[in-house]
Amino acid sequence: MTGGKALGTFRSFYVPAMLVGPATLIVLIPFIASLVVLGVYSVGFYPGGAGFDLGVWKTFLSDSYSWTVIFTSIRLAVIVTFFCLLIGYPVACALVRLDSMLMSIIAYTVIFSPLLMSVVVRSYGWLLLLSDSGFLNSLLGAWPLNLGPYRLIYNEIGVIIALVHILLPFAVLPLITVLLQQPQQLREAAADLGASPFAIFWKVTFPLSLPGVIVAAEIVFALAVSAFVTPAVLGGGRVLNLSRLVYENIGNIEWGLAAVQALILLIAAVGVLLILERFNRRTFGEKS
Amino acid sequence: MASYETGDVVLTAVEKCFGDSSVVKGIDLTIRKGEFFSLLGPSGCGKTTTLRMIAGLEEPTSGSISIRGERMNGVPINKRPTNLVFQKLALFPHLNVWDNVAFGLKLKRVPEAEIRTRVGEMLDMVRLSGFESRSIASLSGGQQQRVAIARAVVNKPAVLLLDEPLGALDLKLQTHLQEELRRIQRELAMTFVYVTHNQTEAMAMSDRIGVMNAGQLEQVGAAADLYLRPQTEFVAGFVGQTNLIGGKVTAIGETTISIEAFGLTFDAVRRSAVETGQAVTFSLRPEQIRIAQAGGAGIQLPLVDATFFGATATYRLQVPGGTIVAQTQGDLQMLAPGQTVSVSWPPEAVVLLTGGQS
Ligand SMILES: Nc1ncnc2c1ncn2[C@@H]1O[C@H](COP(=O)(O)OP(=O)(O)OP(=O)(O)O)[C@@H](O)[C@H]1O
Ligand SMILES: [Mg+2]
Repeated sequence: MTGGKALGTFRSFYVPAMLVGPATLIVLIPFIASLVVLGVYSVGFYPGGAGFDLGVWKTFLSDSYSWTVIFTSIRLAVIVTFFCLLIGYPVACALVRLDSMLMSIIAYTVIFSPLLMSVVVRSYGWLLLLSDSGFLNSLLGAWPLNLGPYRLIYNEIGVIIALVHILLPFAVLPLITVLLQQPQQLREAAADLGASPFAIFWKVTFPLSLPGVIVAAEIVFALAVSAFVTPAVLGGGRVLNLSRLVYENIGNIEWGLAAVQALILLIAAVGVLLILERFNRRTFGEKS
Repeated sequence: MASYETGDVVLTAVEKCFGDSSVVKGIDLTIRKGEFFSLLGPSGCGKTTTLRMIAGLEEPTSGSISIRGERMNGVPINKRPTNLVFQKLALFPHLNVWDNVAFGLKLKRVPEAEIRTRVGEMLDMVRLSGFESRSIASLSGGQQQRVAIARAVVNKPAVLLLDEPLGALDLKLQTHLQEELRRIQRELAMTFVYVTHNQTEAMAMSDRIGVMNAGQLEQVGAAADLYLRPQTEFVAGFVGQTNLIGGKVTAIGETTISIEAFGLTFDAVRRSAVETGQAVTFSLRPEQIRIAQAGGAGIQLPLVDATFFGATATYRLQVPGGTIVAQTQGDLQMLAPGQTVSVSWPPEAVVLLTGGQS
């Protein structure tokens, strides 16, 4: 009796604890440590700082320029997330339905191989493709279109295009997972009850995939809102987001300001994730 | 009532292969309009596959299927006048009970008020009133099965296809739903194609039964036909219990033939063309065999053992090279193993199995 109980406790607490323990420590300790450092720095305690002082917070938050940067970051991330889902969803549907082994291998390679390449390389690649005399503009400028050249770099357009490309696999993966879990029979049942392929998609496939859509949105948004290299390379200094400001202020040895901006970036990211999670719970909470 | 003249669902030389394995091997079948037709057969014989081909979820590899005189090959699932109760249920997990049942009606843009009454009635029938807003995951297996039935039946299709819809239910609910399904089928004059591996259920509910074995339709007929006049060994053995006996035709008379087996002579009614000396197999139902105290009419055989079940009793009788089983009403004289008894049967009880191979 007691032996069983002890074993029960062991199973229900120690076993999971040992399984997730190492990962938790690796992730949590640096995270908490850096949070503490950021918090302390942001209120004036840093090497060469003047001691406790909320001035940096006040200055930053009352400056309209700061808000422009905050909104730029969030806007960029929202737009990138939107396009990643828009492009990623049909891609995931297609990947799930491929039944030729060769085709699957090719498709998966095309979609996921960018993950194997450095973000820096890919960003410079896009710079070449999108520049005024780059591949895309020469294509558009050639006969019979004779268009352009369009300005596609050193502005938000370039940043968005490159970020969507770089983050697309992160949207496709959770979508594939959730679509693969859907039993084929549910679509058959819907068809049997009179649903056209269009109705099957909107009444069965899509609603059942929403948890995956939300996960994809969360991952892409978190990565996009904190992206640094791509906005730096393709924005050419003209697209300022929070990560960029943090980087610049560290360069200028403005520890306090950098800490405040980093914390605001974190708050923005966590805020959006919480909203999405809440939506996820409300829609699917009681059912799964 | 329903006219039995027209073929409602007609399968012509329907075959289905998955890769190299042939699952349905040429089925010819005419299901009549307004008929309760059961497909009966052991697990893996191709019942579900056949049903899925009628529903449009599988295309036949060859052969044709027509419903109400219209060729169905190539007609998409959602355009067929059929609804299917899936063996694996396939309920929509993101919808509650009510929305699952209303799914088909909403798609057909049935007026809201009518949906409300029809879905309400249907849930009442499957005894799930009060469960309207429950999620599918929170239902028991039997409750889910009833939602699956309701979701298909509520559409009142011309042809309703049911794949073992009463499997997970207890006996009482099973009986209730058997009656309800039968009632609905009669009232709405729907054609039912009912798949089951339960012969009692098939016999209790069906107008006609098609017995399937290994991808083939062995015999089609009313329950009594199949029971009293099976054509193949498989049908004789699958529909009720029987003694399958191999023998040789020894004499052909005007109305009867004589078959020799185990050194005994069995007389049978002459129904089909046979020749003297031909090897045949016949079926002799246990309950058709009469047993009496030794010295009575018939042949004398030793009793191997006797099992008393209350209402009935089963006896195994020794014949040279084997045993045959007899079943009688329970309240017979107490016969003890080892004893010799008189055994007899009417010639109608000896049924020659002339169809099929096996
Ligand atoms: N999609 C498929 N691919 C390959 N083989 C299949 C497929 N569907 C069914 N089969 C095979 O076809 C045979 C008949 O299957 P089916 O589901 O029609 O049997 P069933 O008579 O309904 O059996 P049960 O009573 O167990 O449901 C089985 O051997 C099965 O393995
Ligand atoms: Mg089956």
